[in-house]
Amino acid sequence: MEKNTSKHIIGRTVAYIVFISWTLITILPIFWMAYSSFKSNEELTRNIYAFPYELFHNEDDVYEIIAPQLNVTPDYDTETDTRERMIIESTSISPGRRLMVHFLVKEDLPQEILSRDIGDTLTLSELPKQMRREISRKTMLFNYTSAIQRGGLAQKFLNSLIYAGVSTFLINALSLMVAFALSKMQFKKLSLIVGGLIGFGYLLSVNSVIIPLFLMLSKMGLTDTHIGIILVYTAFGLPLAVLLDTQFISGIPGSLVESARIDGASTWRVIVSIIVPMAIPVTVTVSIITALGIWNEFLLVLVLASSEFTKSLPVGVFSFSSLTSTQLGWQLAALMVATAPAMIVYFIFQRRLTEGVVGGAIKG
Amino acid sequence: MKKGKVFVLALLVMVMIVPSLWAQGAQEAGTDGKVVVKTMAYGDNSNQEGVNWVRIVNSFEKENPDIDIDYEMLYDEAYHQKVVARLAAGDVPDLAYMGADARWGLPWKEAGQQFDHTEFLDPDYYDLNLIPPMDMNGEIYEIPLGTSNITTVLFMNTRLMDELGLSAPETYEDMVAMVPVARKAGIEVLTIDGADGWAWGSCLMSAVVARMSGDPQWVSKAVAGEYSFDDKVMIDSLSFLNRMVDDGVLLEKSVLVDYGANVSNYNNEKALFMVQGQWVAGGIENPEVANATKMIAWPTLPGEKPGLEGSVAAAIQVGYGLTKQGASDPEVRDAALKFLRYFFSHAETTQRLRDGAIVAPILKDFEVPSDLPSIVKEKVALAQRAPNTDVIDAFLSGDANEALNTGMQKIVSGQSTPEEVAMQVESLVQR
Repeated sequence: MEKNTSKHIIGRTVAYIVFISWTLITILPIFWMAYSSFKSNEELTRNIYAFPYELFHNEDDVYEIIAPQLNVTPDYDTETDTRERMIIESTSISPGRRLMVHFLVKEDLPQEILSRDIGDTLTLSELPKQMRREISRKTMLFNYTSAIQRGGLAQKFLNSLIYAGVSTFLINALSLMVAFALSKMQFKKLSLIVGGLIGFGYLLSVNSVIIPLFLMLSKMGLTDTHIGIILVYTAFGLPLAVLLDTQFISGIPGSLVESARIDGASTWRVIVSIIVPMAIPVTVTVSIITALGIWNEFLLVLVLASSEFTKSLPVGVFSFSSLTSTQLGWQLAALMVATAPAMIVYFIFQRRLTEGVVGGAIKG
Repeated sequence: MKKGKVFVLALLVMVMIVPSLWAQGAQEAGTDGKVVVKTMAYGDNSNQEGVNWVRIVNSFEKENPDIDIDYEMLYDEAYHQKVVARLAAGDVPDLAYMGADARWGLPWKEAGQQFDHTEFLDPDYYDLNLIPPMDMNGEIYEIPLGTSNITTVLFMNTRLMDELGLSAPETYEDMVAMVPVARKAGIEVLTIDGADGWAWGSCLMSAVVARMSGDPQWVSKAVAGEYSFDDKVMIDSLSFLNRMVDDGVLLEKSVLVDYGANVSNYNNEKALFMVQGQWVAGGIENPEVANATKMIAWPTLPGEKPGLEGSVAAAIQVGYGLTKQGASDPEVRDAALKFLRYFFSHAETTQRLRDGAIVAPILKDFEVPSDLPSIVKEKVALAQRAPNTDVIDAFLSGDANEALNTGMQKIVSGQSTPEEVAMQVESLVQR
């Protein structure tokens, strides 16, 4: 009895260590990413693990008054707003790169500041309260606004939604129909061959077919179109979905299908009224695997999409890092924008998803 | 009723999504009636090239609402790979970032997409004397961003040198003498991004082989078959890498340093010198280091032939050019040329000069501003005083160039000998 208890305690301890470690391994990078997305590039370079400071404690930030230049892009409509401005640039956040720049309306500035020349400095605390508050807010959100505006993340976010949503719908619809035919229709030998071919498709890697795929889509006029990219995602997602669906549907009693047939149901009616409702657990599983895979997919969309109109979020995230320059803060902010929807979906539908995954795994 | 609602919802979603699915690139609603110039641009959202490109396109489109610059912007290897893929697929852009040499021009040449701009360049606007001929009959396939692109620069931190009581080296031996002094101070003499194969060829060996041979066109002549890549000149040049490692001027672990780390090492004053090309001048973000930087040619090397003292390797700078396909449609061609004129405006060129992106402009009657940053002035001064020699990868391409670049990495890390590398390169040269 005592031996069993100690075994139980050891077992539980090991289990807890494993589970806690796994939780930490999963959560800590997200936590790090979340707080680091509020750090300036300079802070990230200095100490990659420290908590954000510079962007929040900005009341004593020093700014340099700079001359108007082509690479200083106004953040207001110069055609409608013709008020004179004083341009200032941060000396601590991306200094000299014309990235952290503010355009102060001269008529709102005190005379003492107006008398300063280009090259002179001022601290944020010297500015009028309203201006100070506005700059402070912009500084805190610097990474996010820069990432969204410069990376065109709004359009890319929409594209990611379209790719993940439409492709997942098509994969589920098509795979359920194929799986029904493979597992419930009377073509055993043919089903074996078709199933084998589809299974072979699962072994194809994106990298090995990307160039021929690009050439093929170009000939069809489908590169740089949403539909072209969706078709490719659907094709790559189908094999696994068919395998899982076939496994699951073959576990559904054949008598249900036969009863429906006796009642006069067509094949379409059997799929819609019997197979689809019963296959919800595996459909949820397939949806999670597919949608998350497409949401995070990078290589295909990088090659197949040419314009900003068709690129998706992972390409946007990638665009903040290159050989010659990296904006880590912007990249982390973009990553947060890309990761947040997946996390929100998971938190909202957590129970349903768990049920679906478990159901999909066991009931088949 | 519930099913009905679902059906209506599904229908609505389809109505909203389906039209956009078939829209191609930026040719969706909104570009109707506009002249679309399909463009391949170079840069990304984090670097100056990319940020400036987006700004220029936006302001150009605002001023020219009848023209749409439909661009794809990529950087580094992603750009080169996509160029090859798009050309192979027949998806040819109308306008592209391109060069005329083996690295930047070859894919366009092989695809038969190089277009001679000569008759479309206004000689009153562009200084045609500053745009070198890019083929046998004097063709101009692209408008370079600036004049010659110096690739073998030694960036010298004069502040560190002064602190350590050192002065600019006149010979390689002077650099060797700096090794113990630098080590004592906890820094290195030289930093190079040895993890990037191209840096060895473009930024170091191009200067060395010219100096060792005494022939500024040694590389182009070797590619043409006048010399051989396993000649003594090449072996001696490659052996110089071994000597640098033995002398402590170059570290074996240099082969682990990438471009960003190289610039960072120099920015953070971990080395007296940085080996790179002129374009890095705009990337030295530490203002104190930038202001204390002198850009010099390599000092006299051991075994160097007389005549090329203080020379630097330089290539025709890359730029933007129309493709044959883009030029075939007069409407697209005129729109692209209008954009190029805007892109190469005096104001934008001044900005490019100020940002350190070019050595000198190719515009006629261009007035160089007197208030340029000191490092930009340094660059202009170097361009004016240093004789030019061939850049290796402007002439050597494909497997041979790859073998040379990786071979140099292997020599530095002790995995290969100069003779082996030289023989391998020679065996792969396609003449």
